[in-house]
Amino acid sequence: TPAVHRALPCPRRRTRTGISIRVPGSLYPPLQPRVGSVQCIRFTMSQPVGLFVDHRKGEIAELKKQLRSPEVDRDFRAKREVIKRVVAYMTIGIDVSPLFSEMIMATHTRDLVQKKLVYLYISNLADQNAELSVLVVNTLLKDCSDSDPMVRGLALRALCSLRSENLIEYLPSPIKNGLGDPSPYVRRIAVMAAVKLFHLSPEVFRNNGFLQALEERIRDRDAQVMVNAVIALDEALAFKGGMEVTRSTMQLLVNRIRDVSEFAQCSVLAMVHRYDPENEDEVVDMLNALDDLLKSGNSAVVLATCKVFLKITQHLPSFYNDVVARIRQPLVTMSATSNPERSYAVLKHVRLLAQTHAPVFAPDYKMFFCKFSDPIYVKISKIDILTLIADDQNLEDIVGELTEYVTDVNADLSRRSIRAMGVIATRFADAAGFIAESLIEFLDLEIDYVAAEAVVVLTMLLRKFPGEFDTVVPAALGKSIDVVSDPQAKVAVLWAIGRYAREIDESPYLLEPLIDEYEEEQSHEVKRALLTATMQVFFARPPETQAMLGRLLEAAVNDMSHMQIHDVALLYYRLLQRSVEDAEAVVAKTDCSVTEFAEERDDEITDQLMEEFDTFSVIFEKAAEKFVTKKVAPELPDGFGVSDDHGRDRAYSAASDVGAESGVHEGDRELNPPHAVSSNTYGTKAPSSLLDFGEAASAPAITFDPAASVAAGDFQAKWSMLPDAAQFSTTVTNPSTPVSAVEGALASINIKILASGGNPGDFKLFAFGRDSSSGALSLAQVVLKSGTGAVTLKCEDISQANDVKQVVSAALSSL
Amino acid sequence: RSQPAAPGEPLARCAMIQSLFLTTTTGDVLVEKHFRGGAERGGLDAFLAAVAKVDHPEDVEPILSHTNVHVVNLFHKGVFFLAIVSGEVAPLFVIEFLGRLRDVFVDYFSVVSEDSMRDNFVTVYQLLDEVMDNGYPLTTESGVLKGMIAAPSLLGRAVGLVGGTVKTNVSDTFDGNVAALPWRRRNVKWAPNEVYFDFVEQVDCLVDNNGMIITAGVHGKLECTSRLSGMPDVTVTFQDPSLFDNVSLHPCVRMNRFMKERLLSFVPPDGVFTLMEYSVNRQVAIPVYVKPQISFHGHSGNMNIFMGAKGIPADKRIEGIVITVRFSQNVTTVHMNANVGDAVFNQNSKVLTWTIDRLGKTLSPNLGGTIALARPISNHEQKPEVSASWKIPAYSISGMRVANVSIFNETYKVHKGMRSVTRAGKFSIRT
Repeated sequence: TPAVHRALPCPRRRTRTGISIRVPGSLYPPLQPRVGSVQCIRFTMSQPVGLFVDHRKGEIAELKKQLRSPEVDRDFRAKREVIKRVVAYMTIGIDVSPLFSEMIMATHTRDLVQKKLVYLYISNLADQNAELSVLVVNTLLKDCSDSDPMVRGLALRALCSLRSENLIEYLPSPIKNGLGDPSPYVRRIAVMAAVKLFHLSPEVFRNNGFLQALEERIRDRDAQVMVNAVIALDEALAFKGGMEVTRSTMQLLVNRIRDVSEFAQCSVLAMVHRYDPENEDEVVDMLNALDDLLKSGNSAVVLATCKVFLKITQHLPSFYNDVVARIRQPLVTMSATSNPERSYAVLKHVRLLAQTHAPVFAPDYKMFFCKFSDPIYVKISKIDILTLIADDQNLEDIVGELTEYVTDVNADLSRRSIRAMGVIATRFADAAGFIAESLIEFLDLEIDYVAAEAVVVLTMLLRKFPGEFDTVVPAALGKSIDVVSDPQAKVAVLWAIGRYAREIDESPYLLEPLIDEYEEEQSHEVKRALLTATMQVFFARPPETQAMLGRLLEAAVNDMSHMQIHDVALLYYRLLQRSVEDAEAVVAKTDCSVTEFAEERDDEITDQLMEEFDTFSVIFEKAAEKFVTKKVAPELPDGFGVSDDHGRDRAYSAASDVGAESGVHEGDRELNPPHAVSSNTYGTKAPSSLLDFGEAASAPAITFDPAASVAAGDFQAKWSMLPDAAQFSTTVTNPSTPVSAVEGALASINIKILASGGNPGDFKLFAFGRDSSSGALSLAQVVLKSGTGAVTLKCEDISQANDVKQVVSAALSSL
Repeated sequence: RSQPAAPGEPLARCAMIQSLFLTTTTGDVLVEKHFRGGAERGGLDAFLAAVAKVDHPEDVEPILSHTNVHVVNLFHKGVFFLAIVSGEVAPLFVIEFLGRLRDVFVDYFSVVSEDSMRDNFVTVYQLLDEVMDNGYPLTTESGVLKGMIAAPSLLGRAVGLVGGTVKTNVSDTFDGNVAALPWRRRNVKWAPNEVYFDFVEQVDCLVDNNGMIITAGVHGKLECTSRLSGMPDVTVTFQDPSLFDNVSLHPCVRMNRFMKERLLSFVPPDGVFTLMEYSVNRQVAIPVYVKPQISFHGHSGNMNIFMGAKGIPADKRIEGIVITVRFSQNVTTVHMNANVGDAVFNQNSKVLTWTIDRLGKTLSPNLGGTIALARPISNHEQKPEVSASWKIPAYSISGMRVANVSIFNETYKVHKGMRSVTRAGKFSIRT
């Protein structure tokens, strides 16, 4: 277990001899706030001293005596000290309930501190003992009509915090009085007290007309009361979507926004955000009225204002672009503040905006260079932004800067910088050359993880720009086979050696050491890549490779550590037996190139931006998923983690595992070799008897083979090759539908899950089904978000598309 | 716990904070308070697990997600301020609130630590009760809070003076008539009446290994200490208001007057507050140069660092200079001699710290010596990182000056003062 632990209070007892001994914690269980306690406070001391020394029962009796003592009563400081001690005991979990009646007596005081301490005592005790709480009601009710407004307010707050159902009947009257109290302090508290009553009993709340009473408070003289009332109404009306913001409410709120604290301004802006302006003039009025809030020193106010501006101008493109340009300065300035937490959250917003408005932020690129003192999370956010805002002007500076981070002690930062360079290279063909050169230099650094990442990125560039770097890059990659130990990187290098077998002079001899040490290789992915690469080198240079290929196939066919390896080796062996040309055609088809990075349409991103701006989603970068790298991962051989989205990396490595398992469990390998790739794409050339793929016979209603299995790699290869057969969406009733529910629905029609990832209500999964009659495979991707599932289908036999769609949508409609 | 009868999940969309915690870096909980229902420990545990994972506590990500809650933290000198948030809340709202809570605690207790929290738990409790009600921020201005809850020092002083015969807590006099201005309490009384302005300008700078400046920027703050009775209306004018850009202002400042006349007109909060923050867009000369020369060959290396002032007025001095060099783990020892100040190498952290109290007029400081390595140098060695901190008292690098301070609405005599300091912010030099 980690060294970090929460210290339990462990009171020390000072004995007369002066030796301190530890009292076992179990004797004094800590005061655990129970469910239902609304206001509880606890101090936990790892080394209790002073006030917090335990005095045991004798001392409780002593305290009782002191609380009753007339002398102590006369000296308010002494009295306060005694009460302080009682509360101190309570906070470390000592039973102080025997002092209840004395403590209640102590509420009769003019000393506010004493009163507050007694209220604290009452709130905590009442949580544990509902009967006692009834006893304090009278005292609190009396204080609710005290002449001192501070007392009235505190008493009302304490009363409504007792949260006992027995007490509900006592609450409406003091809350009503509080709402009409001459002191704004009391009214502020009374408004919040009304919310507490609402959560205790919505019926009592409604029957006593608190909705109307709160609505009246929106026009309260005191602006903070107004804001509290708005918040309260919004909670009470949450069941019908919160408080309705009409034009006049919006105007009222905007007019008074300068009279309230910054945090209340945020609450007001959240309400204003809900208002839809009727016309352009109104938009302009709102922009003018709120513009100076962008100068607030509080970043929460600035961001809330930005959010309103972006929303009200979203359908007015020229205004919208002006707004983005207008909020650039405050955002960039705030991102450079010395408060790293603030800077981080602001940087995430810059990143979001830069997805659609990169040119706006491009001139500020130097603001996003990392400083030594930046925490790692700030540095990573900055790299993300630099990746997005790179353009022809700043490209060289940015790449140069990223190069600086490659040797950073933090491996994550180093890897991300390399990945960022790769993403920039794929966007700017002109720069790809010099970025590739830098990446080759990183291979020479002989740092394991740097080389591994550089290899993966270089492979990506080879695929993106076929023919561009065929001379230099493959050779450099080939050499790095000795350097890299990471399986993913090895797979990438092997891919390059196989693909460029003719261009790399020594290609057979690069593979030989790995073949000789085949038994030592742990990763089955590497083994598989080695098989494929050796095949390809064999086709290119048969005389040199034949012997080692023989050794490798023999070793792999006999390799029982992983079924998939055995299957692939056997497949290759049989293909070679049949015809070398056929074998070459099959193996060549496993290779595919990255043609383009997926780009979303601008308006889709804009919608997403609206949804995410100034919310937690922006921090966790849900938007990223849809952007840049969406299609990269499926198009690479399995095990490649080139996307810059961690979540997906995991999903894909999970996919490999699932595939591997299904291979093991469902065997059937003679008939359905998991690596039997894409039958119909190389059609007649393929020996159909071996691969067991007949011509598809289309049937009106489709049923899926319950024993179907597909390896993850094949799935990915097919997914990238096949065109979309159908796309449709389906709604689910439960917005937080768990992954398992969808999996269950699909399993009911024998659709298998390959991989899934995400949270309930927001996840993505890949699935497949094999037609039980024709054996044709159908692949599906389901993305569930905000209660809507988007399904993409791909079918080997395109004529089945409609049937598959029908069956799948019927299964999902049960959710 | 009774649930509201309304269908759906009404709380999910309300912006509020469920629980607050203060914890140490080792996971001890110093303070906890729950504003709504039961104590959700899952979020806290997830956070503590995240703390255990990182090497440096300041590298814990500020926002974590755990099942159905978000955990937002703010790190302040060994203490985490933690908020557990349910539903969709603006992340910066929570970060700014925690920042404000930190400011209030620092203002009340000077330091936020296990000791100060324990010694002042009564005040801590009272503060938490007023800054947040039902999970929403209520009174968050330190100056206003002091009108309701006495700061420990104030309390002690009052008791000392009057011997406990009169009411000692300021809150006893609080009349419940919260002022019309959310940032200022009523009935403020001071003698003498004083108001001070402090320009604090921070120079951020990143220099490449050839001594060329990659980026540089100046961020300034105008801090105000106000001890003025009643309802003073203050106007501050600047000698050259064109010097600053990208201004952000305290809510007390009248925005329209600032836009039209470039002056600050405001009724101040009581106590210390940041009146204005600004940055300087035009190029400014960096007043300090630090030039490291480091070379390695085989098992050893040489290092020389020159530093000094550049282009500051003759009567200004650079003080409190600390130059740190962070070496890679491959470095075993460093032998350095400085002609000014002290250089200390920490074997464990591999950090060399060169401290100079005050820069003299004549001697230009120089640090030189040798570096010993465990393994021969290789080209993937982490390069040493050099950073510097320093300050120049009574100097504003932007040239900002207050021209005039006038006080209206009150007739008493006021002591006014203005100070400046320029200091290094993030000042990094690559090698």
